[in-house]
Amino acid sequence: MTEPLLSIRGLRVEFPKRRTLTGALLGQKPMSARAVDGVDLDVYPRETVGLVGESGSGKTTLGRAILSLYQPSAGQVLFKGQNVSTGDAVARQKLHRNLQMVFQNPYASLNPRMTVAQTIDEALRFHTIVPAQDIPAEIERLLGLVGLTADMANRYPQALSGGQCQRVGLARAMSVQPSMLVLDEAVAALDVSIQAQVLNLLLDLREAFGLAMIFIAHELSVVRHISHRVAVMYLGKIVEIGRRDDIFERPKHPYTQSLLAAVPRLGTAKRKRQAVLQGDIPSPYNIPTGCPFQTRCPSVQDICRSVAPPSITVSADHKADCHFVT
Amino acid sequence: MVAPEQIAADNAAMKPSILEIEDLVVEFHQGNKVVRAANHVSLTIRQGETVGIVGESGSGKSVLCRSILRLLPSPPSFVKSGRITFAGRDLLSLPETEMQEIRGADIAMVFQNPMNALNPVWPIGDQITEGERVHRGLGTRAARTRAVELLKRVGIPSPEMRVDEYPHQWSGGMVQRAVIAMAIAGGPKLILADEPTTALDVTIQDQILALLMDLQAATGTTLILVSHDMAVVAETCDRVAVMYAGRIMELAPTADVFAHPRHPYSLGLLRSIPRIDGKGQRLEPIPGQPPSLSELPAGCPFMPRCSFASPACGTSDVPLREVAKGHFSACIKAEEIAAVAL
Repeated sequence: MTEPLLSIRGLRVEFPKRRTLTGALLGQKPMSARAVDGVDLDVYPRETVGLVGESGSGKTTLGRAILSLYQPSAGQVLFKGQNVSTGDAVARQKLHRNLQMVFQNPYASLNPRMTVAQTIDEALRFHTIVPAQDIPAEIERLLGLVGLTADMANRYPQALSGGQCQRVGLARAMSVQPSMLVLDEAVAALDVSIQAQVLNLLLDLREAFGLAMIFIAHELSVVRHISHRVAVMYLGKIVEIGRRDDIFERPKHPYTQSLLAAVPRLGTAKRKRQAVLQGDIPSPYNIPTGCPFQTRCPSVQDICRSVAPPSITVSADHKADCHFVT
Repeated sequence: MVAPEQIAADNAAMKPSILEIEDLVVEFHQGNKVVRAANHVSLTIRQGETVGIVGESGSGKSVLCRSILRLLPSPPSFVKSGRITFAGRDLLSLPETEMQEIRGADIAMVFQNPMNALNPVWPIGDQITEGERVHRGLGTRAARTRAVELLKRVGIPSPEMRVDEYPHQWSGGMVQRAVIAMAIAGGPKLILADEPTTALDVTIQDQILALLMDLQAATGTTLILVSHDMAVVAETCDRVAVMYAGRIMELAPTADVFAHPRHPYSLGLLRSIPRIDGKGQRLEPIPGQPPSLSELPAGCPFMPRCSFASPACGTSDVPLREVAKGHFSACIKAEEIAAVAL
């Protein structure tokens, strides 16, 4: 078996909440939201892992913690065996050359005062990817790579459409020749016809450069389209993980089953709806003991309210955290 | 033997119309640019039906909805031509005071972002009954009882305890329920829901769609559902209008559009959506981008991106025409498209 490119062990990210003065005087304990709560995940070279879950499930926090944009309160993220949140500046700079992120909002993730060329130029110079005199040619090559014409180079983000901005974000990420991309809702803000163009582009880049990807998205059909493996998150935990077809065709965790049942499908005719899941995801400040999904689970039992479910191995690559997985 | 869906469709076709939009043209004037956001739109909605309006950003779906309620500020927007008739009344020529009576009472709207649709510094219960207090002189105590009743109807747990809370204390799904409670408070004949579930998670979307359909079944209200999500429309609507660059490109019973599209744009949209039950086949995106609404090409606006285009498409306007029973398409090659497998 090959070595994983990225290896996450027992990762926990917490956001402390300030106590109010009255709270402190009343002797309340400081609270913290546990956004990522003990995650283990391996990503292998050339592999795409989809990360799905509702808002508040911790998928974005996990993505950012991988890039060490958040400091973990426990556990570690190893990229090619190196811890991403420790080590000296030089080592971390090198690491970031290999691990790049593409953000959700294509406009907000570009500097409005920098042209497309300046945006890419900055990354190329900082990491000294090519000699200075070759930079203009390299920018042109990168723009071609993401399907933009060279005359876009001198435009500002405001003169670009959402799809074009997202391509620039991709060109910037690709400029430093990374081996892995973390894509946080990278196509969520795009219209379907443009989304399809960008998805095809991602598949082409993955193929051409042998990229590994973590693809974070709430849209399950898009995740199914692009991922090799899928991890389902709920309240900071990965509750089920497996190969794409296992998750979409043979889901074992009741949460995954409910999530899939809630997705509207194109093939179906107008139907009488019965909502699959009642209520909302609980607050991360107040995670229930036992199974995190107990408050909404359609098949909850007594044991779920007191004992945290074990991770059950369904098949070699397929695991689900539930007492009642067979 | 006639299929039951066909009988249902025929029955629906017999129902009287509640809303008629005829040849509506809405423009926005920005400096010396003229943006045509609705371009000769005609649409008849029958009593009790659910009509979906789908399209990408800038296709004119929201402008159409807002024009019905006259919510677009003028200037910069101008209705250049057209008529909107609701239950026999010409909405575009009504005085503003009468229009105010119609908003909320006869026609209600549910907006996309529930957190922006409510006032953050005002208790939810008060906001829900504002219309009834203002228009029907409902007293404070009666209004509170009414608010509790409405919240219960939209499925808020223990409404009597939550009626005095503020929007920030509720989740997005709960606030959208409150917005729906506000919409149904006046007993509207028509509800315009503009992307009501776009800001919500899929499990919450499922709850809200179930709620809207339940309420509609109980009251017989007519519903116009605007969405960019074709699958949402497929599961909830009787008919669907596909919009592009301010025009309706295709209008037909929902199942017909999704199984046998008769416009290249609908076909292109369906081919570019990844399927939840798909195997990851390569998508076939529509090439290029939608045209600028201030520089619309002559003839069919989809022509520059269309793989079926011929020179005739660029010469004159392509009107919507009936190409099969109840199935309208604005394409001169509609018959040819119908033969293309999806």
